[in-house]
Amino acid sequence: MSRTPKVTPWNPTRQKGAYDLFIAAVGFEKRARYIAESLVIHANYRFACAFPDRKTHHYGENLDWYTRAGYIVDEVSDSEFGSWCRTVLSAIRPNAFQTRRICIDVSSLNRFRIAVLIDTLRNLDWEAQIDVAFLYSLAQFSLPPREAAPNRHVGPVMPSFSGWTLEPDRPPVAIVGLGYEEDKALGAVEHIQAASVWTFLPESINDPYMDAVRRANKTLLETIPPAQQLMYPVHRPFDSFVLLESLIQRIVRSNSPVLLPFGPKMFSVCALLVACLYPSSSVWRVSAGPEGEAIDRVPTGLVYGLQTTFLTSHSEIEQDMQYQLSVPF
Amino acid sequence: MRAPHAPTIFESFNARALKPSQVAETFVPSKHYDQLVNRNNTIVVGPRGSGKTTLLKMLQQQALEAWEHGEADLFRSRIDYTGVFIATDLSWGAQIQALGDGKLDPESHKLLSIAAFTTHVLRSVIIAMLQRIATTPVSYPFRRVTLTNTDEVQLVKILADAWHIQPLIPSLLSLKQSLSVRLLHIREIASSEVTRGESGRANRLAEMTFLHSHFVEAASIATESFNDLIGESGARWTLMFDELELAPEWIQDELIRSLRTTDSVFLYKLAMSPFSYSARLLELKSGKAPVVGQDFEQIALWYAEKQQTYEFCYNLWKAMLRERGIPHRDPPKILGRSYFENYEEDNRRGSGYGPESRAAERFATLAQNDVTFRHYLMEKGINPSKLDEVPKPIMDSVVRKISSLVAVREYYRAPDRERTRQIKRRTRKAAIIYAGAESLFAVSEGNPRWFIAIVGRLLEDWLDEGRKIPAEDQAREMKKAAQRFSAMLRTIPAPPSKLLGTNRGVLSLIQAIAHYFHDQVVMNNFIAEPSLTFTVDPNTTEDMLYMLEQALNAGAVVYIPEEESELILSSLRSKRFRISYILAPLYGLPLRLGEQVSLNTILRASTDMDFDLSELPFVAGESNE
Repeated sequence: MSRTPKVTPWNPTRQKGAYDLFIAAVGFEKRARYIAESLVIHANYRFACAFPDRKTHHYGENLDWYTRAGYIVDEVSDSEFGSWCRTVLSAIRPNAFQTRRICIDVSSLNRFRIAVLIDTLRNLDWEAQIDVAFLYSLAQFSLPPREAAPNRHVGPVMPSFSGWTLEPDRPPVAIVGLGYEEDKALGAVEHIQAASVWTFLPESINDPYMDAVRRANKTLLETIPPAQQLMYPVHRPFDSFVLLESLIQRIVRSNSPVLLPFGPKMFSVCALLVACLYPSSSVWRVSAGPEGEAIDRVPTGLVYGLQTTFLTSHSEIEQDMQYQLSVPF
Repeated sequence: MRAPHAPTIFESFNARALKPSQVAETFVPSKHYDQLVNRNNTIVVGPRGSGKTTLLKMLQQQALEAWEHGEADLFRSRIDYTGVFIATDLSWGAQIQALGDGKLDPESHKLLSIAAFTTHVLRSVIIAMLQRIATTPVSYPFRRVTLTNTDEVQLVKILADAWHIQPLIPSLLSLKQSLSVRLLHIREIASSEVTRGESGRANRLAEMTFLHSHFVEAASIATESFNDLIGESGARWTLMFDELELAPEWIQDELIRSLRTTDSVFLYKLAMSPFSYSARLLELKSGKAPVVGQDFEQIALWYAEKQQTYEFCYNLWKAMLRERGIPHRDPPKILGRSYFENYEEDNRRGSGYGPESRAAERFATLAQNDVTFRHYLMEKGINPSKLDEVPKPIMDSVVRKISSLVAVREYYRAPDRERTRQIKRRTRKAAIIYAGAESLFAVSEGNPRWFIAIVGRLLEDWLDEGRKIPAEDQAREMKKAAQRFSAMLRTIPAPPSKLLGTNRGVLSLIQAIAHYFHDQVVMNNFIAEPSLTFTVDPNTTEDMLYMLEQALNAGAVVYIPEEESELILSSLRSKRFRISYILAPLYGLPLRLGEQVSLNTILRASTDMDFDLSELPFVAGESNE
């Protein structure tokens, strides 16, 4: 049985002592090393995974920086990433019941890798408690992709986030974190033939981004009742998590939630953590894979985080199943 | 009696989201429903949104008990079976596919996915039984029966034994919940087997007897026992499978084979998309294939020709006005007449082609602006300013025939005098030529989801009921519907295609075909019989076929069957298709069938798309037209 995540706010001023492990990504975005470089993360082990594709923009300088800074850098494909995560985590496997502290910079990880990491963490067979800080470096506004490449994957982000409903006759409801790719959310919602749609609009200090999100989703938003258009604060991930979790708690009583986290990656983290709590919900990914346009992201200097403890308790999972079973005919 | 919950726009487009009683609120019986209620096996075929789910849901008891239409009693009297609706959707399909997180061997995965589906079927049977014995008051009680407590206990004991299940208490409701728990159990088995590994797996799974139940046999024990206890021995039950292509392949194959069984306690009503791998079982030449007209009937929920959509759209139109409390008016009274049609009342001289008619103006304008059209008219001896004087044979064989082409060409083609080095498209923001009742109906393709989306919005915004809905508003809503549809097409995952290049998928392929047809009608020299349909070449590559299959099932291309009996395809090769009219306002296409052209020819001609034509198989003797 997998662990249950317990999510709390991340407070940078209370981060004392070294982490056991820090995981970052060597991506092509300028922000890929911002957290590692500016926050000076102290950790006993520091790993950075590099991508075998799209070695463009700042990839070369990021690779140099991580290597010179003493990180263990491995180039791994998506299909190898699960195995890489297990290897990296085995470096800090505790001997006794000591808590392990991990920090993960999700800014330049793709959504599949974020899912694999969370899935690996929740399935660790250690006795120890695992505390994880998910950090995210907010980027400056950059223009959306000029041309959408065809999707290679539309479906659950990975098999273990497919969800499992006990009542397959319950229609799917889409919970969509909006991004700024034109009509991407609309297409996904139409594709899954959602019975109903809830949207999450990122409320960002980055005004042009919010405007771009609204523009890109104009057609979709016109058809959603205002009460089902929610805003979430990008700069307060814990509040976003609570908002999302409370909505899913309600939806699982009568529908199968399908979470589509486009937009800022911290929302993907929230969606995946919520799905860990409510196994009837699934998290989907719509991706063009490595053929998607590589857009550089420049850091704003703002870093947000979410603190998560992966517990071995199953109480909340059982609660979800009870919800599903208790709905009267 | 209105449902307490008003559907949102997404819910109202999608019958799956609605309770059967909500579906019944606005349901208008059609010839399709008339065919479906017959006491026979039926395959309902149609692309997404074509109304398959609505039709099946209207055979459920809850729907029939809430249905208030004038003909409802007549239909209720014809239905002497119990409908069991087995819902499926993309996310449930993905869940079954993901059992064991992709780490189980194929045999174990198949066993567990079939067991999950079987559990879902049995649960649906119990839900239908609970409806039969319900005591809640309804408007039109239908086929309700009484099952005594003793009989219910006996029934549950029989089923618990047969299905290897232990409900907490001997009631049907508890049995239903136990089946939900079994679904949970199946997932746990899958996860556990991943952890335990392959060694000994076959034996472990073999010992779990409930994993090996056959869904038809298990369901028939339930229905026969129920029938006996309520004194209806031999009564029929109808298993209705929605979105059959999302079920595990083995289940699909079993159901197709089951259509041949004549002594089954079950009737089958299967909803399928036009393309399905299972259709290969309908094409077997060994005499084992179920035969249309003999073993089952087919209902096609799409229309190759636009005229066929009118009756369905008209009835839906009436229902939508009624639902909104708007007194009935014929569609042209509110939407106006189609731009493409020519009506006698349009001019003083009683002919649709008189000097002041819209058609005459278009012919004259185009002749003035387009030298190739002028030459064509001259060849035919037609004076565009005296169209009504054209002899009847030529009027029928030429003028009427090209009239809709002229309308599109005149609207979208810039005058020759404005061209510099090449023919220009006119910049037209609003596709108002598609406004008007007949055109709007054609653009909707008779697809209820699209029709409700377009007309629903128009009626919502229609404030001045003394006036027609402006053509601009109609064009805007049709374009929005087309954009929504395009967004969905863009989302469909596509395999890498060497021919199309890495940046193109299903939507790009559709665009290439649509642009070719638009050029045929608007940009190239005028011809009276442009190609507006395409055939898929026998040597079409697998990646292209996959994209076309997806486009067909989504409704982006429409199959034009040569034989009425061949509605479900297991291969698209050598078949003929047209682009859906829902896309016509985006690409400037006429709403009519035309000549056919091979797909390879279209792709070769799509020079602006930068395709890698070296990837296009060459067939000796094939013309480039």
